[in-house]
Amino acid sequence: MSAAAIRQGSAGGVGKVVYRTISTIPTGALWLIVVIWALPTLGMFANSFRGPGEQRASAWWLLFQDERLSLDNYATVLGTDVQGGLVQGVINSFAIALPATVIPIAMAAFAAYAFAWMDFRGREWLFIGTVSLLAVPLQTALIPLLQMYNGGAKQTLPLISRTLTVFPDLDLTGTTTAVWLTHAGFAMPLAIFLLHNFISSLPKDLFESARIDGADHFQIFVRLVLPLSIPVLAAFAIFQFLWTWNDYLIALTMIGPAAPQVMPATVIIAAIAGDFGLYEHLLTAGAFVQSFFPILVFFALQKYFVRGILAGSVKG
Amino acid sequence: MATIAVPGDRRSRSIGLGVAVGGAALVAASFAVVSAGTEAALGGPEPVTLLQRLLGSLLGAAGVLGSVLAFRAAAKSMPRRVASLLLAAGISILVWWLYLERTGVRQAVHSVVIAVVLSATLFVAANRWLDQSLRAWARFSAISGAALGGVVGILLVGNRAIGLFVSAGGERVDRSLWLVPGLAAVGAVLGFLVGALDGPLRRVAGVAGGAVAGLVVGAFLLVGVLPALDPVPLVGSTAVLAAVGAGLARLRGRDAVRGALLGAALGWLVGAFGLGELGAGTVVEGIVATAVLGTLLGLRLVVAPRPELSERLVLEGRVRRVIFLAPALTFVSAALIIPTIRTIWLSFLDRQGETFVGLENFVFIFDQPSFYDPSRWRDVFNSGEFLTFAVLLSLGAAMALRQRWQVDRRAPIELVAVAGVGLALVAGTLLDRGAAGPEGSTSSWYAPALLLVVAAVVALVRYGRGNAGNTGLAGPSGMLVAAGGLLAAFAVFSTLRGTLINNLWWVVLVTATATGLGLAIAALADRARAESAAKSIIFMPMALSFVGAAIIWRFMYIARPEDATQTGVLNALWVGLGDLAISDRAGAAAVVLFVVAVALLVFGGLSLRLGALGTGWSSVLLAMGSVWLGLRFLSGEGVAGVAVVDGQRVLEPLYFISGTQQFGAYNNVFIMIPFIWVYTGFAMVVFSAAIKGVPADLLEAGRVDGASEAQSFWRIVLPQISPTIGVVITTIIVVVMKVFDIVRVMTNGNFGTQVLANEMWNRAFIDGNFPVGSAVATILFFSVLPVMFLNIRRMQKGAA
Repeated sequence: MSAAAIRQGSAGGVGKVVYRTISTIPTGALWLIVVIWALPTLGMFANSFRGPGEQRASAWWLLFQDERLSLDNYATVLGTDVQGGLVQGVINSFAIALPATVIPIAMAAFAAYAFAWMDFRGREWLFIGTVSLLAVPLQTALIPLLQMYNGGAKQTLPLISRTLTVFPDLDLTGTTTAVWLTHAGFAMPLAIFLLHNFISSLPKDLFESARIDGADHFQIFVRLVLPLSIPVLAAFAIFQFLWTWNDYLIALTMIGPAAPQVMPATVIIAAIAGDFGLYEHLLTAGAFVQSFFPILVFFALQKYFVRGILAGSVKG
Repeated sequence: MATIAVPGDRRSRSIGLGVAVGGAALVAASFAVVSAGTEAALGGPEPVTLLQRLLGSLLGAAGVLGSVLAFRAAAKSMPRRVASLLLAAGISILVWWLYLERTGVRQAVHSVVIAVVLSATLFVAANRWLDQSLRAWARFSAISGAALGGVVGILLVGNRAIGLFVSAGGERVDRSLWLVPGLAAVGAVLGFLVGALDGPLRRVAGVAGGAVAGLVVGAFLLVGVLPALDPVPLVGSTAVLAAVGAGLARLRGRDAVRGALLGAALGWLVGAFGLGELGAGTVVEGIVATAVLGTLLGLRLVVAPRPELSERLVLEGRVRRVIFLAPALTFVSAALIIPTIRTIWLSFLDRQGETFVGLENFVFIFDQPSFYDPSRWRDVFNSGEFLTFAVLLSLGAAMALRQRWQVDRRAPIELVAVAGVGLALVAGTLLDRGAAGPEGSTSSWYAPALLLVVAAVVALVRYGRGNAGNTGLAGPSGMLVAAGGLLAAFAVFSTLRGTLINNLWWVVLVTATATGLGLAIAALADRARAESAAKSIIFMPMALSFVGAAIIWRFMYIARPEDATQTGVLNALWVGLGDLAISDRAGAAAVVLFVVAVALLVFGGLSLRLGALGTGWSSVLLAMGSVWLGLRFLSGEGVAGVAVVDGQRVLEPLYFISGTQQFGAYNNVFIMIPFIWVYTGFAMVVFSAAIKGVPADLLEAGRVDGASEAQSFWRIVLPQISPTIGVVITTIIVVVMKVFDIVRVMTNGNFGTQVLANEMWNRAFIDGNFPVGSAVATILFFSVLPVMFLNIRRMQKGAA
């Protein structure tokens, strides 16, 4: 738009004013959008310091007219009165998110290395097949997985009708283990995809000279590839941490809403939201406590997070 | 031990030694601290055991080590180093304290430590084991034998095939697990003999060892699995499978004898334990069955000579691949592939999960009006959305015509046709609405309307094909047509109802809006002042959970009934506007609005003269809006959230997503908004990177040729980033298709907002009807298949 204005500068003084006004529109529009985007979160944050009475009586932007702002909401959600308390919830979230991040990274790194630097027949198809599972909706796997955690997996052999136990009945439903095991499986395609993108772009000479020096695949992997891949490992780790921390579906399915001592924070605040009206004023503080670590990670490590997202979408 | 020949080896080894010694010292020190102070200061209700203290100390040591590393890694400046050190130390102390204090944390830490240590050990051990295949064959063979024996033992014990019970103090105690190391030992001895010996001695050892291993297994067979040996099927299956094995081996160019022996062993296994009746045999029969099996396998092992180095190299490569790939692929198949197949299978079974019922579950779910209800489909063509679509279509086509005429004095027949069709649709819909009244369409307007829509689509596609990269529908006119398309979709989605339609609505609207907004913001923010701060704020919702986003937006949507103060942002604005319109200041506000309108008109007119079409027409529209609002203000009848009836102020807040059904099917849109709020940031980040990747000389060339900012965006940047647009769209489609959290928390599918994922969950886990739940999941799976296919195509192209 601006160049057009310059080109037809014949409009003189008025044209200049119009041109200048037009050229500020993009920035103005951008900041308007930014304000709109920030408003919902700000509102929640402001309301989290106001009691149930204040929240009902007046809107959150009248925050500073209130006679008292308090941390009562936080104290209540963190205490043990409501749905077992968010302290336990946050701990459970860690108990799910940490293993669900560490374990798939390691395994996916092995596989990504094999797909990138080991030659074998059908490698490309195996890789594409694995990575295309990225799009499979988790819902299609939930019922059989729950059955497996609940009663093990048995397979009846065809023709001779003998039943073998493939996966023992470990009674995993209602444990955080079931949740992170599931996450680890679901994360694998994306992890392999991201790490493969990076590992396969490492220079070939590096591997050749290492092989000439007599290193085998395991040594190359541990000594060369792992140290070089730390940025992309971090990128995926952040991605996966946020994903598993914020997950609701798998935790709800595998744990259920009736086990306060193992529920992660998302399930707890969703349960509070389900108690219509009763604890509505606590939702503000609850949502903020649940989002505290993700927001911390987000602002501290945004660079890596963005890198992970870009590696997952642009290169594909 | 392995010798490692990577450069810098000695140095790294001494560093490693230093780290090990330092780590050990740290563990010891923190163990002392824990032991001294635990029970007194931190001990919970239960006493802390030795193992827990040890693990706690390990945690403490890891924390200290992490703090030191954080200190080293942090930036050079001292304050940042100190800050990172304090942060790391704080976190490690917190974890340590929680570990000792909370049972839940302790269990979690244990399961994590066990899982991580176990898998790391397995991986390293497997690699080290494979190293031996080149260095010391006998050792490699012995370890393999031990591992194989152990795994077979675990499988047999786990399946209750073998067992060991001893009587201790008059009670029968299960000691079956002892059999696992026992079998491992037998395997190790056998493996070592076969690997170390040579010539006839090796053959004898192999056969005898196999027989002994079989005998051991047979001796511990539980009564329930003792097979009744029936010679005919036994010999029959052994002979048949031996022949098959030999044939297969010949086909693959391998030694036929080995294939035959392997086939015979398998045949014997099937004949003895598969075909014979289990539990009906004697102990002797059991021992014979397993001993023969062991002998056959031992024989198979020693018919071939010990492998040469070249063969071992091939073996090493092959096994190494398996070691690297197996963990990931096991997880993928166990968590994704096998469950998906099982789900599809389950969707064809009856409620008990036993009888095959064909497509019955699918028929059932499609019969539910709540799932799919197309009964009002004729109303699509006289809905307000459809009318708006027709208006936008004709407007867009007319603008494109004007643009085209200015550029090359041509009026392509396709554009003329689209404009004409648009006008015809407007006229027809208006007439039909007049004739039918608000009760819905009864006439047969739908038939010509449908034909006209098809004609418009055909004309647009033809124009797009014939005029690729040419002027016309790129830019604002194209945007109008696209918006029209979106409204046509709205007309369909708000008239046909049900879970399936809601899901489609989600996919269309969220994908279009998040992609479009993300692209717009990325373009606006590019090279703007404080770009990264603005982008951070818009990107931030990506860090929140959908549950959190749903809660945040619940507070935006709050509507208080009648006389209460509105505390939700949207309703406060809505009602506030209404209150302003009936207050004393309404007149003054109206004057301000008229002044603004005049200013906007002048500005818009000037912009139009300067060629800034988008800005110009938007200003004119805004001016018209201001005038209308000002007139409402003057009328004193109220506007927006406040109406005046018989001189009384009547409050009319917006009841978003509620049982009042004020918005009907549009309740869906209000649940989509939080999702769009989250995913716009994603699209923006990706597009922003793509825009920055557009080569600078391309833009420069455009500028030299006199392209305006807007033109260079539509004509240069957009075509350059079109592959990225495709990626973003497919990514968002996949995420939206399975939307669950937001719907569950905001409405749980009530008020006509059900979606597939939540329907599946309720059917399966609330109603406990797994087959119908599986059927819904299967529908979900097949709807992402096209996207999967697209992804595969793209990856193939990328690989080639």
